[in-house]
Amino acid sequence: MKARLELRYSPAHVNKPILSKAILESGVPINILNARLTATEGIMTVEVNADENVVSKIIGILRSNNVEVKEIPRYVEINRDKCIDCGACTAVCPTDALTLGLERKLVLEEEKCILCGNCLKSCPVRAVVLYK
Amino acid sequence: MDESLRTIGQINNKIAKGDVVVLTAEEFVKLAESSGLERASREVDVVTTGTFGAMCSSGAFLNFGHADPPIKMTKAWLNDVPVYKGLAAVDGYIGATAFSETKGIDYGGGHVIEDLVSGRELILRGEGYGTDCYPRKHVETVITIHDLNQAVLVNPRNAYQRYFAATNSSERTLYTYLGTLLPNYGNIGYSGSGELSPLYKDRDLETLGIGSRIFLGGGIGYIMGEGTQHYPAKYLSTIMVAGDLKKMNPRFLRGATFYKYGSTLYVGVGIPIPIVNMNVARNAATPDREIYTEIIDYSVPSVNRPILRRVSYEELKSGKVGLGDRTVKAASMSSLRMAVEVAETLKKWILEGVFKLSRPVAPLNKDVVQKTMPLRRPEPKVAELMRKNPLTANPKDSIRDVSERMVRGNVDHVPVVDEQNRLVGIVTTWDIAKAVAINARTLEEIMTRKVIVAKPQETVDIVAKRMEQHDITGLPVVDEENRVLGLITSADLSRLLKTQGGGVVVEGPA
Repeated sequence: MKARLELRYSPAHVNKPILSKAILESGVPINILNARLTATEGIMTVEVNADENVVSKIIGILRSNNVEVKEIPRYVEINRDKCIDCGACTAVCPTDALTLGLERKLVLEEEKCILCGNCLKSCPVRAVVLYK
Repeated sequence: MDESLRTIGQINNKIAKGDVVVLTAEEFVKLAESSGLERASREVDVVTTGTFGAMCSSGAFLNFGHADPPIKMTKAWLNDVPVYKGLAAVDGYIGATAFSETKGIDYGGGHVIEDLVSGRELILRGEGYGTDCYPRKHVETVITIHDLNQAVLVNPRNAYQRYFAATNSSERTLYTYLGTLLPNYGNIGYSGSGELSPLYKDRDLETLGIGSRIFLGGGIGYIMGEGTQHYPAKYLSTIMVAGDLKKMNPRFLRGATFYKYGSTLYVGVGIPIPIVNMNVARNAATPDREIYTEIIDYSVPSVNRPILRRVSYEELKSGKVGLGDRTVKAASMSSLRMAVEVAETLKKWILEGVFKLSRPVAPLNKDVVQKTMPLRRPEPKVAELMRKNPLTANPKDSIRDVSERMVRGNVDHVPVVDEQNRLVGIVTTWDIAKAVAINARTLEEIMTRKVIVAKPQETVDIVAKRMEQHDITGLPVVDEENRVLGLITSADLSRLLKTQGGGVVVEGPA
């Protein structure tokens, strides 16, 4: 399965190589999609492509190292009632997760999305909803 | 004059009898390619076109009806968006780009129009000064479009024949009316529906004119005349249109906000083109690959922006455009899917006999050109305000030596130049502090190599905006060969404001 996790580090743990530890202990590569550091915490969105029990193991390692872990079930959604299929979002999407498909309708391939948020700003009718 | 194939009267008779032949412009292009133009023009009576794009020059005249006691509103707001009130007591005009005084550009006149057409409730607020015949000074109430006596969409400029495509050569993301333009030619934004474009499909303006009945916002509209900035010689024709907002459909009128640019209104416009002669047929059959526009660099702050290349709508619509030695993603700001829907809807109306074609009362002006605004007051230029012969330094100069010269000269910015006086970097007092912290010895270890510069002929307010964008306080002024001519700083700009009595400063409320 492909799992997306939101990790929150408190300042006390932000300088520890916790993610590397999780990678080494689980033996599974973890892809960092997005990372931000604020004055009060570090927030990271990562993707793990592994069996469910391996994903649980990784979550366990992270939690035991004081990282807050939240699974992100669905990350981007297009509000079809609002979307006008202009395609403004497609040009600013770095991974081609958003493209115009059949009959020039907007197609979203969620697994390609890296949660950069470019599409939110580019949408003139605010039809993109991003969870992160 | 081409030989006549049919008249509008004959077409309307066929509509009445139910045997009219109508194709959308896309279908007509395909038919002309497969069966030949001759046959296509004989078989098809009407070609329907469509576009669905952000059209800032749109708005609606509204009549609110009189309250009891009545008010002559000199100011009015709908959901906090200002309504133009330089008209009679309860007449107003809501423009698409006006925006909310509480929510900013996230909610604008375009959204007000969409909410009106959707039948939603809006808060109307009005103020007046009170007269003998209009004693009331304030009003606040809730209205819907059904409460209004009239709501008429009147758009001064819609349906550009074609429009420019935009890209960005700078290293900064730009937010424009053609969307977000990523740095270093990161993408291309364009607009217009190409082979579906209403005005391009009758590009010689032969069949449409004042009084032509059209599809407007999902209802019926009429062409009032040429649109503002109409420029037929360059195939940049536009139309001014009007129609009863009460009979329109929110599917084809959508409020929108372009990030960091402003609010606007997406308008669906469709025009039926009667195939009255071969020239009209030929124009209506023009495919995307023969409709060209220009790719323009929007990072240049001028109305005369450089043209990078010509591009066809076929290439634009493919989503990938060659620019130099690379391929750049292109995305439309207008919706092609909705443009098709407009053309299809209009086709359906004609086939069902509910929409008849009208003969224009008069043709559109073909000689008018688009002029620019004359600037007849002196505007301060960088050359007049910069410090000439500023203190400069070489990359190999020692930090110690340069810091001494900066203190002596009382300056914060030192352009770093090579032997030919060409700019290679800049050092500020902050960089000197950094040099001390990291124990650097020469300028080249600490200087900023990507320097934001000014040109002598640029106006001061453009340079002030650049300083603000990059959060810097001084720019070297360079010539075409990148040789340093001077230095302009925020201190120079405030000196100017002082001598002008603060003319350019926008004062906040007291």
